Amino acid sequence: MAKLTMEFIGFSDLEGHLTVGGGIPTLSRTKQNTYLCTIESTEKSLEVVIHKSHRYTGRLWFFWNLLFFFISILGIFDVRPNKKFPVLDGRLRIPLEEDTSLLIRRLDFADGAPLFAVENGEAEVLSNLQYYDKEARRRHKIFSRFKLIATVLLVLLLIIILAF
Amino acid sequence: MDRQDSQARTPLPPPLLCAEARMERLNRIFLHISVASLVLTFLAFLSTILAPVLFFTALCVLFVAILVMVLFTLGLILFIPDNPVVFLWGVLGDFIASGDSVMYITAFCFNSTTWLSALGAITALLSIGLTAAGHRPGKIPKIVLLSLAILIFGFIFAFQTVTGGLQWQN
Repeated sequence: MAKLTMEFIGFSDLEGHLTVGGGIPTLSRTKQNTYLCTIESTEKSLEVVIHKSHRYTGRLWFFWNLLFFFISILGIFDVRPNKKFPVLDGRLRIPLEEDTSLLIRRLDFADGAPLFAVENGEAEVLSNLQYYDKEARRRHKIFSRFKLIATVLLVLLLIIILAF
Repeated sequence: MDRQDSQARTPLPPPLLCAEARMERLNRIFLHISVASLVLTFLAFLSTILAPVLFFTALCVLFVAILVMVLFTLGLILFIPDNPVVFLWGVLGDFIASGDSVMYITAFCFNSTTWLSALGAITALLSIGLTAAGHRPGKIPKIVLLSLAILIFGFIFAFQTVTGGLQWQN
């Protein structure tokens, strides 16, 4: 059984999600504010995905946002998104040996810049990019207009019900 | 062109991460609702305490208003005869003297207290459930579903109480 130890430097708490070999790993925080992840596996290699996307991803983006619009009571209690909609997309395949260790450093955000740099280890980088999503901005505008119309209609409906 | 570029390079995240992101958003929404519920509960508590105070304050204000009105009307009658304002004050004076205004103010104070307290009690329950749910990211605890059910019930109940209160005031 091979053991993989990864250390993530420069990643903040709420930034992105991580999967290792298709599962969500347990991370432990060190005193130096880095994250440690240790995995034991029988596979020959493991795929690591670091991803952060926005709420307008996928084919069902309108449905999911509509659902959250109602759950958050007309969007009043919804989470305010970053209006530039940054996307983090990092994928790497790590060949496993008996004891593999890797250091992944987060790079500063810039539109179209690489997301991370692999230090102290070997890995095949499949994707390494961070950028602002323009399509998400367009979808956000569409949904904002929909929210406004829906809210006005619902308030009118409430007034009519209360009046009669 | 920009849109095409963006669409072309936006990768679809793994389904597991999509679910994780959605769950995180749901938990944060519940935390926001929980905080708002706590504030509402506190307001309901305040209104319950302040209701008698508000009632007596309203009575005092009404008493002073009647006094000023009577004096003003007397002044108008005594010093400016045949003034149409006198007639208007007379009508208002009759309304106040009939006691209807006291009933309206009382109804308003007690109705607002009743529905705020009802809403507060429900939201207090909710805040406990939702706060507990918010601290367990990545899972759908049964308490979240229960809280949602209470939330829907609470809103229907509050809506009916408010509607009933308004009808009673009318």
